Amino acid sequence: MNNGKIKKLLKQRAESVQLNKEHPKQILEKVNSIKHFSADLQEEITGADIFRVQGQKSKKWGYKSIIPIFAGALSLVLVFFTIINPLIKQKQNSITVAKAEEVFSKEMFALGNLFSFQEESGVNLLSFTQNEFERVAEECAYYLLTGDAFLQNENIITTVYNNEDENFSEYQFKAVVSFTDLSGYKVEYVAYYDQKTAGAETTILGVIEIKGRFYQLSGKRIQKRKEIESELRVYFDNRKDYISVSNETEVNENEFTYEWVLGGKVVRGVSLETSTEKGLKQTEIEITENNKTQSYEFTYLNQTVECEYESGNVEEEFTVYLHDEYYLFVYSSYTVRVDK
Amino acid sequence: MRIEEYVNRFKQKDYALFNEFYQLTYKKVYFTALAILKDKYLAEDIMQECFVAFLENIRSIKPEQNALAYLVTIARNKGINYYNKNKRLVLGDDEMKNIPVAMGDSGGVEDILNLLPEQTDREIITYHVVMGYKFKEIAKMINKPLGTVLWRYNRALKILREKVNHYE
Repeated sequence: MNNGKIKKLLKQRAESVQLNKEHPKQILEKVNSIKHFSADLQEEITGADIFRVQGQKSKKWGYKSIIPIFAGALSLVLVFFTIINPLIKQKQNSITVAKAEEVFSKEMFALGNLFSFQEESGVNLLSFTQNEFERVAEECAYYLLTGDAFLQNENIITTVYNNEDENFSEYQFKAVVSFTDLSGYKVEYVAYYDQKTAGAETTILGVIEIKGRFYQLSGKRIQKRKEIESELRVYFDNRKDYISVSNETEVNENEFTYEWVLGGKVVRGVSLETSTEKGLKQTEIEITENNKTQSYEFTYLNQTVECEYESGNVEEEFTVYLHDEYYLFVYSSYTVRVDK
Repeated sequence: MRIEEYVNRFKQKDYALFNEFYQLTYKKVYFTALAILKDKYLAEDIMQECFVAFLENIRSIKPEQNALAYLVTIARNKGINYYNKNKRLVLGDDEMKNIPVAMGDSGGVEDILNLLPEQTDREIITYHVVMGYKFKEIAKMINKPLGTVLWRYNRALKILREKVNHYE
């Protein structure tokens, strides 16, 4: 059962709650029978001041001064709301469509997919216990969508807003990163963050929403003449362990590196590289863990992806069929479905 | 009718529309108490006390104050006070962990919430999922940092996913 279904179940059960219908009548009977102010009420209502209705103040004015003051104020308010405020709002709420690299879009997308798959499938990336086919399929599924997106860089749409979301009003910006893959499956991640730039270094700090869950994130980008180094981290719930994705354009602008940092140590590394050669789009991933390395090479065709990898000294291959909600990994004698 | 208008009537001891006001607000009060006390009968009793307290103290509510939030705060404080005074009557968090919960169609919302052993987690899930409060509001209500509210929310959902799957 996923988060959405849990929430739906809770709401349904809450809607169906039925209490004793006599409560309103009993309440009024008690109120009418109480003659003295209860001494412990003050203690119980402490703290209610937190929820003040904003923008309302109560003041006492002499009756005769009210009308001209009110008229003057009303005219000012009308001028403000009809002319000035829309201009201010237009400037404050301006929507900008930023370049993907300027707001760590690719990195957010890459980590969003990873956390999303891990969360929904319940698979622990560091301990596969299924058979070889299932293990490979679940491992690769994380990166297929990301590789597809990076190969279609122009289809990663990023929109940046001046943040007005009450939930995270302490953050200055809101970025929405979205991508629709070839099968029509749409992915979207939303991040709320503050951004600081000092010389050649830009840092961001905030939270990212991935399928209804929120994770803290931090990012850093350093511009060195023609080279750019960037790193984005998304933290697990304990806020100490994290997965990072980094990119160095000097090395290869199409190569991204993931690192799993648990207990302060890098326990897993993955490099993901995309390329387009003679019209053929490819993604190569290399996974390093426990001093062992495993590589996979994906070639994207129309509605399928061909994959080659080595298992032991044997070359293996399989085909991935792209469906709206899932990938179908087809080996010679086995088929595995991995939901997106 | 806006909440403020009901409040103004109640201040004049005009309770003709109290039932209407009750229907609009009782669930928020009830669920607030339920998240703390874990027992639907106790929660109903506390809910009734909250409305009595609210009406008794109605004249001290200022026009700029959010009356509904005021009511919810009373519910929370009453629930916590009751829990602290009557711990032996209310199952403790440790005891709740060991009680199997029957799910299925007859399970109420309290059955699901009681799968969460910690009160803070029950409160956060209740306030956000059931009552629709934003995380920032919840952080103020329970006096915890926003980051704490977020990660506890994530953790609570994870616990519910595991336990609900187990019992279905």
